This record gives sequence, C-alpha cells and structure tokens, in this order.
Amino acid sequence: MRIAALIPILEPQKRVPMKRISAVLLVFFALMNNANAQADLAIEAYNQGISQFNNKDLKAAIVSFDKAILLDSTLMKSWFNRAVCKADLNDYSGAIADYSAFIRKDTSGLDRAYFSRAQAYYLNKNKDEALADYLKAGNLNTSNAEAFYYAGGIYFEKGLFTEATETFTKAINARGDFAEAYHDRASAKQKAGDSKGAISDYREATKIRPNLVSAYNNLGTLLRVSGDMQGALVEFGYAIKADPKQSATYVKRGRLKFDMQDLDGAMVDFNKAIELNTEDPFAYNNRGCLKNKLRDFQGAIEDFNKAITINPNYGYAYMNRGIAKENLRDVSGACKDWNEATLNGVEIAKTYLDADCN
Amino acid sequence: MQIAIKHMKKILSLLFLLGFLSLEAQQNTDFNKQNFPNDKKGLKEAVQNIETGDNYFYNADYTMYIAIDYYLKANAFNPNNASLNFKLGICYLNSPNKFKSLDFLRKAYQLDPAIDQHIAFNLGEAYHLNHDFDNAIKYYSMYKGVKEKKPGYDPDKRITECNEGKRLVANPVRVNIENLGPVVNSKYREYAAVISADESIMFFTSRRDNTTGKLIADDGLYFEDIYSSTKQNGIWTPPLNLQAPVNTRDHDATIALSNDGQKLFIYFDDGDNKGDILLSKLEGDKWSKPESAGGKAINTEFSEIHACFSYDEKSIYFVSDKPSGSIGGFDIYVTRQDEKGNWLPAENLGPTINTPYDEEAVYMHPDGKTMYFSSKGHKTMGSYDIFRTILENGKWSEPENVGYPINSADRDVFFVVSASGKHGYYSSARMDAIGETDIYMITLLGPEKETVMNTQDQLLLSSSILERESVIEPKLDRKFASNVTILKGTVIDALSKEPLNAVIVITDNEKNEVVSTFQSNSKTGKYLVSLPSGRNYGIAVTMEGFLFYSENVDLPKSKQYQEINKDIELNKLEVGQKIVLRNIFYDFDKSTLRPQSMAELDRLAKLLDVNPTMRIEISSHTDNVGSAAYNEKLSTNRAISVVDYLVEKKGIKKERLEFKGYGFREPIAPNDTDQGRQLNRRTEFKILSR
Repeated sequence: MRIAALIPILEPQKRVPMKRISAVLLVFFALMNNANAQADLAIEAYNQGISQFNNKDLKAAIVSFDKAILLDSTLMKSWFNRAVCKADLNDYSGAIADYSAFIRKDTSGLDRAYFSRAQAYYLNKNKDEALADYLKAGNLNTSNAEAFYYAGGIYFEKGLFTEATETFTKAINARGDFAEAYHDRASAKQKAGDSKGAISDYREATKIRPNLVSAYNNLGTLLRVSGDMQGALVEFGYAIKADPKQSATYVKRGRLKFDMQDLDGAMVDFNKAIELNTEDPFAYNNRGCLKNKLRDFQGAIEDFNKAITINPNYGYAYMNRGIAKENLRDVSGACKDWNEATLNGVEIAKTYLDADCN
Repeated sequence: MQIAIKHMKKILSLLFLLGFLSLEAQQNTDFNKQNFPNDKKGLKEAVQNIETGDNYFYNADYTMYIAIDYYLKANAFNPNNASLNFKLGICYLNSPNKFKSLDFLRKAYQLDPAIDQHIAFNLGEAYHLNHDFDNAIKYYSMYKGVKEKKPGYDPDKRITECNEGKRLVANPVRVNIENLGPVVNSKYREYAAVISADESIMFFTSRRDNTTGKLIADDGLYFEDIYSSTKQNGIWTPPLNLQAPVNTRDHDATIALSNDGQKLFIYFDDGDNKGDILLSKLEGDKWSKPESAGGKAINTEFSEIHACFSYDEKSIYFVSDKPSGSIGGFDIYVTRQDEKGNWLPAENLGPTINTPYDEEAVYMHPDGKTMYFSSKGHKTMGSYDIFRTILENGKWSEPENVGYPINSADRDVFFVVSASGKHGYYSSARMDAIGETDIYMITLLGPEKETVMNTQDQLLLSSSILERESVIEPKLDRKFASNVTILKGTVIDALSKEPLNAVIVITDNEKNEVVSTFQSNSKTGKYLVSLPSGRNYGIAVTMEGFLFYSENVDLPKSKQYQEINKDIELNKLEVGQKIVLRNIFYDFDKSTLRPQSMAELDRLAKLLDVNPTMRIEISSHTDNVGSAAYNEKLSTNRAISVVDYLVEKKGIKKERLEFKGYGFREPIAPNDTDQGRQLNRRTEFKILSR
C-alpha cells in the first residue's frame, strides 16, 4: 500500500515569559527555576529538531528529539515527531513505539496518531494492526476519507471484498469526489462478482478524474472477460488517449485484438508496448504467443527467452516456450521447459509433463 | 511506356526460348546408332544395362527394384527415351521409394503419352504418392477413358482416396517422428517392429547381412531374420539376432509380441503353406521352437499373415484370406480360448471392420479395447492406411483413420502403440532413412497445446501491487490417452532371492472370474500384466511349495495410464509363515463376506487341499476407528466368517482351522491416513503346523 505523506507536528514551541511574582512564592519558584530551565532546554532541543527535520537531516533531528524527551518527557510533540523521523528512516518498530507513547499520553491528536501508526504498522507488514488503527482513525474523525480508503485497501488485500466495498463507501461518503475510492471500490465489487457495480464505479472514477488510466484499463479487461470485445476496445482507446506512453495498456489491447482475431493489430500493439518498455515480460510473452499462432515458432521462442531473462520465475513463459519447442518437434526441450513451468507453479504444465514426457 | 514495351519483349523472348527447350525435351530418343553416332561404346553399355535391367523388370514385381541401378546408368547416357523412363517409373512404384517414380513417369509421358496404355494411371499413382492430389485426380480421371483397364486399376477408388488425402493432409495429426537411429537401423531394410507394453523390448524384422545362413533371396535381398533390442536408460541397445530355433535360413519375420514380451508371433512361409502363423515362447532366456499358433483355428491351407493376442491372451486376432466366411480379400478374424485352453473356431470380425478389400496388420492395444489395423477398404488416402476402432459393449466402433502424417498415400501397415498411448512404432521409407526402410518412433502429441497470454491490472490505486489476471488453464485433449495400468516386476524366493517361475492369476473380483493367467520368467522372475481400467482386480501369485501372494488393484474406469512396479517375494510353506489375503472383502462394519471374496477363499481352500495336514490360523484386523472392544468383536466375527466358509462350503475340517480377532492391536501401517487404515483392515492366515 502506498503510504500517504507523513504529517509532522512542526509548530515551534515558544518560551513562557517570566511574570512578576510575589515574594511568598520565591522559594517555590526557586525550586521551579531549575525545572523551567530544563523545560526551556527541552523546547530549544525540540525546535532544533524541527529545524533539522526541515533541512532533511533526519538523524540529527532524532538526536534533538531524544534530547528534548530526556529533558521533558511530557513534551508529547517530540514523541510524535521523532516517530515521523524514524518512519522516514524505515525504522517502523521505533516509529510505532513512539506513536504508541504519544497515543497513551496525548488525546488532542489521536486520530492523526492512529492514522500515522497505521501507516507504520502497514509498512512493518503488520496489516491487522494497521487495519485496526485506520478504522480507529476513521471512527474518531468520520471526515477522514483517507483512513477509510486505506482500511478498505487492507480488507481488499485480505480478500474480504464485501468489507472492502463497505469501507470504500465510507471513504466516498466522507469525500464525494474521491476518484481513487470509486476506482478501488469498483475493483472490490469486481472481485466480489458484481460486474455491473464495478463498471458503474470505474465510470464514476473516470468522470471525476478523466485521466485515470487504470480505471479505463480495468474496465477494458472486465468487458473483454465478459465478452464485450468492442466495449473493451473503446476503453483501452480511452486509456491510451489519457496516457499514450503506458506500455501496459498496449499489452492489454494487443491481447484483446488477439482474441478478436485481429492478429496484425495485436502485433502492432505488442511491438508498441515493447518500444515503450523494453523490460515488460508480459509484452514479450504475449508477442511470443502471437508468433506461435502465426507459426513463427523460432520467433516465439526468442520472445519467451526475453520474458524469462527479465523474470526467471515466469512460469507461463516457460510453459509457452515449451509449446513452441514442441511445435518445432524439440520434445526434450519442451519437457525441460514444462518442468521449469511446473516448478514455477503452472499446473497444466505438470499435466503436459505427465502426458508427453517422462 | 518505353520500359513496359522493353520488358514485354524480354518476356516474349524468354517464352520463345522455353518453348524451344520444351520441344527439345519432348523429343523421344531411341537407343540407336543414328542418334548416337559418335559414342558407340557408350551406346553399347547403355543397351547392355537395359537388357540386364529387363531381366529383373520382366521377372516379378518384387525384383523390379533391382533393375533400377541398370536403368539409371542407361538413363544417364540417354535421358530422353520414353520407354526407359516409363520402366524406371514402374520400377520405383514397386520399390520402397515409390515417390521417386514421379520424375520418370512425367518425363515418359512428356516424351510419348502413348508409351503405355496405362501410363495415365501410373502417373496418377506417382502424383498420388507424392501427395499432389489434384494432379493425381487429373490423370486418374484421364485413365477413366481407357477402355481396357488393367486388373486392379480402379481410377474411381483412387480419386476417392485422393479426396480423402486432401482432407487428411489439410488436418494433420500432431506427431513427432523420430528415426530410431543407426544403432537399431542399418543400411538394409528394417520393418515390422513390435514392442512389449512398457516399451522395454522390441523385436523387428531385418534383411541385414548377418542373417542366418547369409543367403540371398529371390528379390536380391538377404533373407529375413528377427532381431531384438532392449531399452536401457531410455536408449535402445544394439540389436541381437534371435538365432535358432526362431531364425532359420528361410524368411523369419515378426508379427506381434505379447504385452509381457515373452510370446512372439512369427510369420512362416516355406512355399507350400501359403503362409502360417507360428508362436515362440521365451522359456528362461531361450526362445522355444516356433509352433503353429492356435492350431487349426488359425492356420489353414490359405494365407495367414498377421496375428496378435488380446491383452488377456484369451483371444487371438489374425488375418487370413481364407474364402470361408470372408467379406473379401484378407480379413481379420478372432479365435477365443475355452476354459480348457482350446482355441475355438474363428469368427470374422464383421463388416464394421472388414471390407471387400484387404485388411491386414491387426494390433490389439494393451487397454483391451482399442484395435489398430491396416485397410485398403476404409477411408484411406492411398493403398493401406492405419485405422483405429474401439470395442465397447461387444461392438466395434466405426474405424477411424489415424491421420496424416502417420498415414500416407503409400502402404502403411504394422503400427503398434505403447500401453501408455504416447508412442507408436512403424517402419517407413522416409527421406532421412538410413536404409531403404527404417524403424521410427512416433510420439503422439495430441491436439496443439494452447499458449497462455498474461496481463496485469492495477486494482488498488492505494497499492503499488499489480495483480496478474487469473488464468483459466487450458485442458489437455488427448485422443490416444490410454486407460490401462501396467503392473510389472519380479517374483523371487523371499529367502534365497532366486527368481521364480510363478503363475500369476488375474481375477475380476466383481464377476468372480479369472481374467487371465500369466507366468513370470523362470530365469529372471520378470512379469508384466496389463490391466484395463474399470475393474477391481484380484492378483494372486502362486508357486508350488510356496505361500501364494495376494494383491488387490482397484481401477476406476477413468483411471489413466500408470505403471506400477511391484517386486513380489514368495515365502516357502513353513510353520509360522503368514500372508495377507488382500482380496477378502466384508460388508461395511459387518462380518458378512462379500461375493468378491470367493476367488481368494477358493485359492486358500485349494492350498489346504494340496497340503492336507496343514493347520492354519485365520486372523482378522481392523483400523483404529471405533473402540477397542468393538473392533475386537468385529475382527473376531470376520475371522469366524472365513473359517465357516472354508468348513461349510469347501469341506475343510474344522480342527485344521483356528480363528482370532486382533482388533487394531497389530497394525502394519500408521492409522493416520486413509491408505494406512486401508492396509490395516485385513485378513491374514498363518501356518500353525504342516
């Protein structure tokens, strides 16, 4: 999950001015003087930390916040901002500890603290805690659309598409023009089998953000799978118009054209995809499939080779290369490839191995 | 415009030149002094070569190919003689390299279309053999106008074949055809390869120079002998001549091999019998003297040329041209063995299989239901094609052409398929042949496999993770897929580890009938049985003086090809020895014996009959499902059921039998898997005294 920019609490702290005091309180103030001096030093260190953070010297900022906390552990903003620095330095456990300390002591910015800790938990690969914190942040502040949005994303990743849909809806309720939330809710609905709902949400997302390429692409895929080839072609056209440099769109449209028996058109699209991104294994794999269909088996093998060079664990490229080799009657070469494909999780390759090799 | 006119002039000049050359090429040139005034010596040699060639050409069809070398020399001297080109074409049509006939017949026709009244048919044949079906049809159609046709020259049938050829070539079956290489093939002819079900051994016929007696037959080739090669680590070993008594100084040719590779059908023709089928058996490491296979049920005064066993060896399918019961030409017949081992009168397989034309080279697959055979009568693309038919519910399916390129317009016979259904073996005169005909292995690839395209979608904008679209994996369509299990291994003495010549009885437990009986090899102890899917088999391995071994193999109808390697150790009949009776079945949770147990119980009764003083304990065991007390009672009752059966139904004295129920006290496998629990649910018997 992409993390939102951290929002540090950066307001510099001001010293409290000395006022006239009564003689009776002198003794007390004498005792307090020492404490005030410490607090002043803490604020000084805190402000130095802020300055260092602004200068992007995060390690120095952490040292300053450490000093501020040592001098005045009740200066909770030091805890929060040290957590921000630690998270930026990928010390998510340290950040979580500091956010937790903040949450225990300071109730003024709880929703923001939960939100930030959720991000740290997520980056620390602790999705359950991240989800719980995002939901707490959202429930504390129902206008926090991002909190619901990220929580929805975690539900999605956990395969809980109904919960994801509901949570994305909360994000949309919090912010009606949240295009990303519409987009991701569409994906959740698609996964849950609600194609109609998915199409509607993808379209809503593109209304809000007409250059949202992945919405057109996902819509195109959805329509292709459902058999509306012409509809899919239109959507991929919109995606290319929105971003003509995105190779993945050409890969998708090439595949669609292949399914539509427009083999020349498919070849043009796969070539374009490779021109835009010479390291896209899918583009090579799919062009290899097309060449195999065109009986250019050697050319197909060269494309599968390239796909495998880019991604040595690409099981389907091995399987497809095996098929092209079998078409060239290199049965032993085909069997070696199907074995590799099997090792990389392609089930049908195991069937081929059992049926035609061994 | 200028350029166009210039270009046109060039084309016209070229056409004129080609026309002139063409006229020159069509000049029929006789071998005489007028035509070759300056090369008398060359002319004389050429004429001599033609005369020598004519001796072979006019002798017999099978000697025609010998004339080729002489004719080619004469043709090198004068390539423009219509008669010589015609004869060369005819010679090639009667050789293994029939496709070479085209150039000569085309030339002969160009030089003199009237050189022979049947040349249009022959030219049609040549085009046909080269798979140029349109031209073949053109010349066959032309021949339809010839009034006096040569016997056997049927242009209408050939045109039908050409149309079938066009259809088959346009829809080829996917195969990989590999020459078995110079270890197996020689510069001589190799053909009629036969294999054991597991492809571990192959026999074939060859006309190589180390034939028995090193004699040359009338056709100028060495006499046929039979050779064997075994597959070791996936590689065929150098072939060995089978030697006497199988190979003789006459023609000795392979016909078929039993699935276990221990019985070999041989074709024998001493000139008097018109061809008979003999059978030789591997006894230890020696092949027996071939004897008439099936006696009078198969061999007659007519030609019997091919035969093969059914998977259970209880039937022999064979080919004969005997007129009685024939549908026409060579037909396929079957003879079945009765309970006493006699071969019953043969039956014609009927009009679904046999046609008014010839059917040959019958081969029954180890799956027990698929038959391959060659036919001139079904929908062939020329001469003999190989067909496949399936026996279901006692009826043969409509024979199906196995397709191009397995079949060609030439004579396609002798096609055997491994039990796995993956490989076929045949001989062919392909371009890459080492000799005139070589043995090839065909890998049956099935329909072309589908490649899989991939795309990935960004479903979550909040995540950088891209999700690959789920793939609906294609299904494997396997036409030749085999539903048979090969059970093989060795049978040895458990103590001495010496191989045993044991009897292996296969029983259909549902029908309580013996399916087949085989023997392991006395020298090696090796055995192999093929078990078509769709039955529950009881397998008993018996040997005098030993306790029998019992195995159960349950094969649902859908069970695909598998090989099970099972080495079996037999224990001598000694006090304390015990065996598991794998083919005794009870009703679920009861002690009632199921009918499928009878064959095993009868076997046990027979053992007790043969050893009248032997006392045994019948014990029953359960898995650990349920309480100990319950299982103790159940197992005791089951042991009692067996004892009661032996006493009441088989007349065994009660005092010779003890029973005991062990519950789950003596497991032989862990009880934590279905397989383990199944092994533990068992009935045993132990010898108490002899």
